[in-house]
Amino acid sequence: MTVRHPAIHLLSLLALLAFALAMALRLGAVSLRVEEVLRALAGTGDPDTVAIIRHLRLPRALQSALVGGALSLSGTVFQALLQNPLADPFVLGVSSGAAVGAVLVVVLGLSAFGIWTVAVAALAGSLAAIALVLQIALATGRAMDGRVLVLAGVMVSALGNAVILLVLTFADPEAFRSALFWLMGSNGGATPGGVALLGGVLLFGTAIVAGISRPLNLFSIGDQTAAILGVRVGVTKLLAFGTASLLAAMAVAVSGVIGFVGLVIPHTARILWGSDHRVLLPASVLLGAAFLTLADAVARTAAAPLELPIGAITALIGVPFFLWLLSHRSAKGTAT
Amino acid sequence: MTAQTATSPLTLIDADGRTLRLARPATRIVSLVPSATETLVALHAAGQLVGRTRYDTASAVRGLPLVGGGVDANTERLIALRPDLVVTWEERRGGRFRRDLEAAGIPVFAVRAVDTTDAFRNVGELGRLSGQDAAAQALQTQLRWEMAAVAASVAERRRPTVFYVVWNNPPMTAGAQTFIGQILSLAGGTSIFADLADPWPTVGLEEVVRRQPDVVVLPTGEMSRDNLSQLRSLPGWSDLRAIRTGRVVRLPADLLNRPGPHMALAARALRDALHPDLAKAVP
Amino acid sequence: MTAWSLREVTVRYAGSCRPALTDITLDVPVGRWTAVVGPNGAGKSSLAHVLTGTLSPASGTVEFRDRPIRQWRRRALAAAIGVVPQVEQLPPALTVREVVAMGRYPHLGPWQREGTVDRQAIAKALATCDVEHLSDRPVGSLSGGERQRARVARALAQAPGALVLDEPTAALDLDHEMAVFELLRTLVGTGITVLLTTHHVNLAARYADRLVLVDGGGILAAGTPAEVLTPETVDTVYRWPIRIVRHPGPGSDVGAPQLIALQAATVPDMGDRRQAGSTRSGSAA
Repeated sequence: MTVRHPAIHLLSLLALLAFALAMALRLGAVSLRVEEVLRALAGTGDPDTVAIIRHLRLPRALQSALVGGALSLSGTVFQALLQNPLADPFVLGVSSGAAVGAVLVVVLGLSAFGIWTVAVAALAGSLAAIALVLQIALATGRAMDGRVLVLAGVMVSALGNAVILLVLTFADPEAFRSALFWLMGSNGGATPGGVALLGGVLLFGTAIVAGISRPLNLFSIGDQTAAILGVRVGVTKLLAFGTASLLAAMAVAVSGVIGFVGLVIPHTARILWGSDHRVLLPASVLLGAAFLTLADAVARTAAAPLELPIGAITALIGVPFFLWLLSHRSAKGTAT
Repeated sequence: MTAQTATSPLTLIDADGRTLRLARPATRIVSLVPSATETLVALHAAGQLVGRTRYDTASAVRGLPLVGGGVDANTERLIALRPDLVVTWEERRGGRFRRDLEAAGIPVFAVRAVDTTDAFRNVGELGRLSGQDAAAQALQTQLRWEMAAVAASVAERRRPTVFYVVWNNPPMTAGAQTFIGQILSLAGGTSIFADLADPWPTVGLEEVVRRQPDVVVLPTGEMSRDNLSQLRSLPGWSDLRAIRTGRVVRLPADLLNRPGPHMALAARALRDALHPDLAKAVP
Repeated sequence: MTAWSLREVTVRYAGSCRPALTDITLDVPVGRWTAVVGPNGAGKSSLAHVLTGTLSPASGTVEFRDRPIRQWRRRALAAAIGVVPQVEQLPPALTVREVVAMGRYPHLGPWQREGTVDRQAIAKALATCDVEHLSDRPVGSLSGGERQRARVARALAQAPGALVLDEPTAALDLDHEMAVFELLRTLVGTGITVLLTTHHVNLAARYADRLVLVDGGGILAAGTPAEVLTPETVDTVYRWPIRIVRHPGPGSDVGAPQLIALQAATVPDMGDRRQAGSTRSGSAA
């Protein structure tokens, strides 16, 4: 069930991403022509346009691409590891833990790390949530069983949500508003430093996950099958879980909770390019990156100068497209 | 001017369109709306208040028992205080206590507190409700005069463009028909987003940079967590000339957020910030 | 020459009070067909898992090719032992060729692509198991027998010297079952060591070189089918009156012991037997 000539498909996805980035730079409250964008990137021309392109649109477009790629990659890996089509990057409590960290910092008014405080707290929160999930799973003695992990993830997420509700009850309106905006997710606060860090993590994560593409193919069938074909199941799963969780945690730390991408992009990629993870993984990353970049551009532009929440846009664009894809494929019969 | 004694019955229609009839002006009042509380204090009716919300922090009322927040006050506490009047928000803006309070026999009066017109009207109505008619008339006259003075002082001047920061991430500002928007206009400034109809638009930072306001107004109290130096280091904000050159106005958020008796003070403070040369010269 | 040698192997499953296997000592010869038979729950599958290295014994030693199985690297073991597990959920859309190609996994590095050697191994496996004509069919559209042959082909593509099959014909029709057993006989003929577990005692007795009779977590008897299937052993293990007959042939399985279960009415002391059978404690978990 794989496509022929995967290289061509991946190259077209790369082209799609380039197009998405170009559109993200051109679009905004004021549309710019290509030469204006290029001039601004070079630093010449109207200083405000230069500022907008270099300091605002460029980091934001790059962060959207990186977050979209990271979430899609994470979702694809979780779906393979847990053999669960409903798995998304946040299935092990990542978003809930990050939200607890962020909301606590906002409500308590902490700022130990300056503008990075919320991101650091979110990261710490998601890592704590993952550790808790693992701890629960280990206590049952069946840590690598997908169903046990999902259940533990649901429990930890519920706990996290309860904590958030409690904390918000005691928050003043300003903190409440700030926390709510964080929870809605946004790439608006993109900084060059954040982009570089996320880029590094995504590159690193993709390399690791790509190296275990074949075991992931086997995990989709079952742990037993993987083991009899020579996969070191425990170690490989740990590596995969760790990488996918880190990617999700980093994405949430910089951009808040953007849902839907990590769930649907892997499915879309699977429908279009098959289940062989050697192709599926890079395809997911590129498709997710292009998708979120375009969605972010729409969020910025559709009601300019008003800004729409990115989480709503991803679902509003993504759901109809996915439903169309699903019905289109069923009409054509089973995909080969 | 009709003389109204402290014992005359009164009839008023509130912001929800309900008619309120009181046998006499109220002497045990709880106000859930901060600007209404301020108004009552300015009308020398603080002694007639029996409870306060978290947001009523003025010295005149600080000693009063707490009923909770404004929109989420505790009904039981309210009833336990045995007030003879509760001032609350319009139903469509969060006033939820009417049914429970009226069932307990407590009269309820809803006020609209969105813009300057509301503020004026509330002075009059709250004055009647508390029996402080004379003080209300005097306050209204004074406010009218003060506001007119501020408007006149900037009549012929160039109006600097302003970005009022309700929130910084994502950037949110106040629309033209909000209290803040009206005060800003009166004080001789123009919002860079005067073209938007929404009362509280969330705008793209790009657009703020493009419109390059002359002045940025940062309310303190709410935003004191994100101080100016932090704001400067965020992408986009440092590209605002106003931020780079320090043309940033810090004013107390409560002053600018509450459409109440301090509106003239707010207008003057804003005017002085936008037109510094007028600060000492003109009232 | 032994393929596997087990000494005093005891296996416990977490949460179970009774061991699944107790003090198993066994030698599995190279190049021969060994069948592990016995009632359900006797420990056949557990034994198969121990031999493939997926289950670690609580005590005792397991050696494959004279080396403790724990010392084998996973990949090397996978390249040496082809396994056809009892249950497996293959994605129905996968083609037969793709399934068989999985067998090459132990031989390929993470970034390596299929080479000539791999393609040859896959082609040979497809041909040997007679599923070449089904190469591009999705496994979901195959019959039970065809699917099972595809899985055997995958195990073969691992190019192993030994095959372990756990209840390979449990749900198959007679013709498919015979096809699988015939295929395995061909493979043994080429020198591959075959070990399977099955509860089709009669078939095993006809085809296997050696039989291992397991009951209650222990080995009751091991040897040729004639040595193992005696009235005493059969009576102990199968709590039903059984007559042992010889297979009439034609074929190389002439003379193989075959168990015929008798009708209850024909046995005079059926009541006592039942009594004795019901007091026997249940088999190992």
